[in-house]
Formats: sequence, C-alpha cells, structure tokens
Amino acid sequence: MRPVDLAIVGAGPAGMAAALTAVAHGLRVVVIDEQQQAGGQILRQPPAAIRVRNWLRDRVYRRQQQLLQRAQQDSRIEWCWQTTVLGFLDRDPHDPASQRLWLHGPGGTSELAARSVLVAAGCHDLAVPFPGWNLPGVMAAGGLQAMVKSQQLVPGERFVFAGSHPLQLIVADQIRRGGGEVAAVLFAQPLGAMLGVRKRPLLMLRHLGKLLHIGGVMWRLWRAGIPVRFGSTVVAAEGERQLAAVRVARLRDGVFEPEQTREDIACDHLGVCYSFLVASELPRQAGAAVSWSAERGGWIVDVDGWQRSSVAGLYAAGETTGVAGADVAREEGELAALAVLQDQGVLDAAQAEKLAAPVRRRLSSLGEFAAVLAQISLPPWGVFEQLLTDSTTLCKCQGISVGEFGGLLQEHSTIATANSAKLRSRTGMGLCQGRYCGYFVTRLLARHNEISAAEVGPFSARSPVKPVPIADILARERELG
Amino acid sequence: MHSCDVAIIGGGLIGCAAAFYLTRLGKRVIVLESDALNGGASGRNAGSLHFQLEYRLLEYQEQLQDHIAHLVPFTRRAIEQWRGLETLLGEDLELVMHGGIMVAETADQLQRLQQKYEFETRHGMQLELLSRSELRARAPYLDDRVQGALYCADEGHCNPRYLTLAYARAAQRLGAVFHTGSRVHSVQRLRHEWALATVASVAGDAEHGGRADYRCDTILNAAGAWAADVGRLAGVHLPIFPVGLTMNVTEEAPPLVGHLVQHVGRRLSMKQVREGNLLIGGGWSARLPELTGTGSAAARPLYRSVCGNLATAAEVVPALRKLHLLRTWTGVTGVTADQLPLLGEVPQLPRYFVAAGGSGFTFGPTYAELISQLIAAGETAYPIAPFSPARFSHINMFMREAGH
Repeated sequence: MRPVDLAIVGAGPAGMAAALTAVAHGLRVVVIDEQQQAGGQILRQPPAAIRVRNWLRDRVYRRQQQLLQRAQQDSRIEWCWQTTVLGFLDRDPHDPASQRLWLHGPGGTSELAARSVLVAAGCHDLAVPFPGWNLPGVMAAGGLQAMVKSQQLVPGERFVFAGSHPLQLIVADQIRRGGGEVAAVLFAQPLGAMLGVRKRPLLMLRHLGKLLHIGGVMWRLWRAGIPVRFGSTVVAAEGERQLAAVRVARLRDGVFEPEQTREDIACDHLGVCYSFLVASELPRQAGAAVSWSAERGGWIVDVDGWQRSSVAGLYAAGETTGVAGADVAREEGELAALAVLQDQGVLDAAQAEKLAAPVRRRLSSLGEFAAVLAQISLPPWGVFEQLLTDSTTLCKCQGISVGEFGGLLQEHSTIATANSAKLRSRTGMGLCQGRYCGYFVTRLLARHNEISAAEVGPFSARSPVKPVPIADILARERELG
Repeated sequence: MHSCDVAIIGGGLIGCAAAFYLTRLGKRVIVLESDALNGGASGRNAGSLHFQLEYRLLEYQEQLQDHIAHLVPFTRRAIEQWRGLETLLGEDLELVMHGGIMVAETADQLQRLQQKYEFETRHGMQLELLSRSELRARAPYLDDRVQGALYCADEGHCNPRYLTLAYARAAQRLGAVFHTGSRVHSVQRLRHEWALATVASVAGDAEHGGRADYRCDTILNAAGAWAADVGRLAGVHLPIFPVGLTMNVTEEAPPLVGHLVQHVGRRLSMKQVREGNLLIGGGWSARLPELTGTGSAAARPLYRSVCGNLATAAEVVPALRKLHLLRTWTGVTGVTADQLPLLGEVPQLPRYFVAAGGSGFTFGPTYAELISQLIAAGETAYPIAPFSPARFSHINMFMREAGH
C-alpha cells in the first residue's frame, strides 16, 4: 500500500484549508470525516437528501462558505466520509517513516498509510454535570445547533439556555427563527465580566463583524421579548421522564442565592452552553505532548509555530490545539499544510516562510480576539463546584456520582493522577472513553489534592477511540488473510 | 531523612501486599513508587486466577519439570489465600472463583490436555477432564469446534484495579507509609544499613512525593518489569525482562461467559467481569518502543495482536462477533529468564530481597506473604528456595562490589 502524502482528520475549516493548500502544491491528500459532507460543525450541511432553504444565510458564515465551496469543487482532494479514525496503529516496519491510521467506515475497518497526518478534529460541548443533567431534554447547545443548522429542525417547543458562552445567544436566535419558543437565556457571569472586551477598543474594531453579529442577535432576541439575564444559571433540571422545568438561581459574588429565592421556568428543552472541549484523543494516543487549559478546551495539543506536534509527521490545527473558533482554525490549517510541504521537501524554508507570513499576520489578530473571548466565557470554578453536588452524576457511562468519586479519593489518599482515578473508579472507562467526564475528573482531582492539572495528567487515550463492531475487525482480518 | 525497617521499591501488587504483611509482622515500612500505585502490570493485567499450569509454562514443560513440582504447594496456598482475601482486606474485590476451563480444539491439543491432567493430578492438583458433551452442558457459550477442556473449580478472576489499592489501604491503616511520584535513583550500602535517595517524577503526589533520603535495614525490590533496573542501582543483575502485552475489552454485555476461559494450544484468556465487559487477552504482544526507559505508558498495541487475539476469541466464543470492541490497552509485565519468580534474598547483597516475575497476579498475594515472612522471620511457611535469585548467582559473579 503506497502511503498518501497527507491524511487530514476532520473536514472542518482547518482540514479544508490544509487540503486546498496541500493539493495546490501537488500533494496527494485524503480527508477523513465522520459526517457525510465537508464543513465541520461550523458549516454543518443538510444531508444530501434534504433541501434547506436559506441554509446559513448569515453574513458571518460567508467567508467559511467560500472555503467550503472551493474545497468541494477541488477534484484533487480525496474525501473519506462517514469514517471514524479509530487510532494510530503501529508503524509498518517496511516503511517506518509513515503513519498508519485505523479507520472504520461504511465498508468496515481498514488501514491508511500516510507520510504526514494532520489532526483537525475540532471540539465538542463541555457537558457540565448538575442535578438532573441526564434527563431527556437537557442538551448541549451545540447539539441543538447542529439540528437547527443542518435541517432547520427544532426538536422541542419551549427552550431555556444556560451557561456562559456567547454562542448560546446565537443558538437561541436560530431556535427562535426556526419556530421554537425561547423562555430565557441565562449567563452565569455578571454582565460586567462579559463587557471586559470593551477595554480593548482596537481589538473590537478589528472584529467588528463578529461583534455586530452578536449585537444583531441580541437586538433580535430583545425585540422578540426574550429575556437575556446575567448572573444567574440553571441549578437543577426537573421532570419525571422528560424535562418539565429548570430551577434558576441568581449568583451573588459567585455564590448561588438561597433556595427560597430560586425560580422555576417551565420548558421542555434546556441548551447548556458553558464551554468546549477539544478532541485531542487521537494525538494523545499517538503520543503527542499536550498541555492543560481550563478555558481553551482541556488537554490541548502542544504545537510549534508551524502546527507540528511533538510526534514527527503529526500535525494539529484548529480547536484541537485550543478552542479559538473557525477563523483561527482555517489559518492554522493553512499553516500546517505549509509545514507539511516544507517537511516533505516540496517547499524550501524561505518559500514556506513567505507563504506563511500573511497567514501569521491574520492569526495574530484572530488569536488575540479568541483569547479574550475564551477568558470572558468561562465562569469561575466556584460555579461548577456548586453545580457538582454529591448526588450529581459525574460519569454518565458508568453511572458514578460526584459523591462516590469524592468518597474514593477520601478512602484512597494515594490516588493523584487521572489514570489512577480511572483504574479505581471506572470514570473514563465507558463508551465515551472519558471524553465527557475527563475535564471534571481532572479539575476535581487537582482540587482535592491541591496539585496542578499537569500533575493530574490526562487519561491515557486508547484505541479504538470509539467502539467498533468486532465483526468488522474480523471481516477485515479474513480479507487480509 | 526518612527511616524505616523495610523500604519497598515498587507500589504494585507485590509491593503493596508486602507492605501489608510486613506491617502486620511489626515492621515499619515505606513504599517508594515512581508513578502512581497500581499503575503498571498490577493494575493492567486481566485479573485471571489461573491455577492450572499456563500455556506459557506448558510450552517449556520438559525444562521446567522439577520446578513445576514446587508450584503445586504454592498453588494450594494461593487458592486458600484468595478465598479469604475479601474478608482479610475488608473490601469487595469483585472476586469470583466459579471455575475455569482450559479448552482444546484438536486431537493433538486433547492429548496435551490429557498429559497435563495426569501430570498435575500426580502432583496433587484437583482437576476434571471434561468431554465434549460435559462441556456443552457447563459452557454452552463455546463453539462446536471445542473438543474438550480441563476444568479447575477454584479458578476465576478478581478485579486488578481494586486489589493493590485494597492492600495499600489496609497497610496504611496499620501504619505503612506510601510515597508515590518518588523515583529511586540511588541505592547505597552503608556499614549496617541501606541508604536510598529519590527524585520527583512527573506525575505524582505533591504532598509526599519527590526528592528525599531514606535509611533502612532491608530493601525489597518489588519493581516488577523494572526490577532489573532497580537491581542495577545496587550493583546486581536480576534477569527479568519487560514484555509488552495487549489486552482487549468489549462493551458491556448480558451474562455470557461464566468461567475463566483459557486455551491449551492458542494464546487466549477470556472472562466476563461484573459490569458485563469481556476481557480478552492471552499473551499477545505490544510494541515497546523505548525499552531503555522505565514506565509502561509507552507500550503500543500491535494491530496484528488485536486482530489475532479477537479472531482466536471469536472462534472459541462465537457470540463475541455481535459485540463492539470498546478499547485495547497495553501493559508491561516482567518475565524472568526461566519464567519462574525471583523470590528471596539476593546472595550478593545483605538484607536485599526481591519479589518479582512469575504469575504476578494469581500468585502475587502469596509471593508477598512469603517474602514478608522471610524478611521478618528468616523462614517461610512453604519452601521458596527453588525460586531464590541464588539460581542466577553466576551472572553476578563479578558484580558484587559494584554497588558498594
């Protein structure tokens, strides 16, 4: 099997930009994605069988849509849809310089050899545990958005949004325009914290488009009579088998106000929107170094100025290296492709540097904005700490509560690392492999032992990173003889 | 400066269990672990309690004939010990001893089972040779290709993620001290005692771990796959080698496999744990890219191992085909030059003991109890001389002064 020059995991903005740059210089590129089409989460497309009028008509998506069109029309890019990368396999002894990816798609499992691999696997919503969060009807705002964006499907009637990230305003507006009723949008942090950005007038001016978009959204929500409140959040989801109401508490100096002042808001869906976690399990499984960032998505992949990870031939771009949004992802994708071209000897250092210069200029301004956004969007740990009551489920896969987990830490004073906690408690051993609970396991452990997240470390990422039918593996085994 | 009677190097099953037995015998114990407790083979093995002779030993049956005879009293002691372990430690360890079968698919394998049965029963093991029809009745989950099996009623499994920590906790209650995140980097023999020094490793317990000095009367090297590295710090060679192994685990499934399943002629071990996951292994290798480094995190599964292991398992238990593979993982185990444990005092070094290798999980509690007796009282309830590191003294002929 001759290796492809570049395998790209993820067909979002970073993956598309990297693919376009790489094929333009003659590389053979395969892009692998779990969806049926390109675009990633930001430009989640309707399924081929469904026509959606006015799909993502907002101006703010225009630049990304141009990228999508260019990528889709470029016949040199090979796409591999509905395919999950299960992990990095051991290298082929006859070709030790190449990486081998383990894939699972509609045709079963297969292997793909690539001289270089770019992981641009994006991010997912941070699922914050709080009492009742596993009731049907409680959803991640990003999950709701995926439905509205791709199919204009509004999966309920009356919605509440709660969290701390401005994205929830956009999703609330999309739900409203899709015909859903939005009862309230709640921000845990005070308005003052959100307005921290006004102290950076130049930065604001450079990103006027995005701010105007948010401003427009706010204006539409206000005109529709939808309350947007700051300094309050949902502290419990209530209902028999389905969400019926959420309990809302105001925060004073970061502390939930007492029980008697709390208020119930009737709703059938709650969109939770605090923050995002990066999908770094593939690079971690490959052995790439990561660093902790509570604001930028948990364990983010360490990269140099060219998006190279610590593993030779493995690159990372976009949210995988720290949540910063689609515009940053696109630039990082291009930079990664330039690094690959340089490392494979297609471009010399001077040529690559010249092509990278404008990308770096755009990145520096975009990165600054993303950093400010990340900072104002995450509430202080105290908010989470109050939500994570003892009876709250910490790990959904294994049904382990915050209290049970804390009890184990009390009983076993030697548990300090995420891996030792995983071994004793089963958090991170279920179907999601710790994708959801890992963030809080890390922070709870660091808190309990008064150590840094770096000392706690991530769960070891194991392949397959997502469950795979054994029958498919065996079919492939027979095929290979 | 910390001082104790026994410094145990290695916070795996043997180290933590020895800490428990030694404190019970009145010794002041400090356990020095470079990473986290139970982070190596002790916490990553599949938790089989295999009391029949294993596949890996059968392969070398002729060379090991004499030594294997010594394993039988060991095995009897181990069975007795396992039966009382949950009571002793006061914890649920997900311990089941519902019986285990070693299956055969071919006439040749059946013949080997027959020989094995005769050999082991001659040495006093209680085993039952099951015909095909008897096997059908007891283990309906097996494929028709399975022709017969050797049944051992005491076999089963225990949760390796719990056992070591349960020992550590019980030892802690008796006064044993655990320093995790503490890598031993120097071992010096002084006039009448040992001096050890540790450095902090990356992942660790900020409160206790890190750079420190220790003085002790006795050292117990319980560093498992890395016992040779630890031995070299004191100037001796211990012939134990790290071997990377791959394990597979399925999603949770309804009760299907009630026994510990092993194979007499193929690399397979399988069991279903309480939550319903099936653990599948049996000695399929993993890649160890950095053999020189310590710590087992670097082992990577081999694709051929994953596929080969699953194919073998699905041929024996066809219902596996309907399940999802949830995860593969790797661990590093220590295999000695002759496969038997290193258990005893190192002749070249006064008051320096080793307990590593062998069947580290199944016999771990027994190794730990016996080495503790040897350290505390100078004798053991069962003979362990055949497992003494003295059998490898020839490789230390020119080493004995090196550590001084």
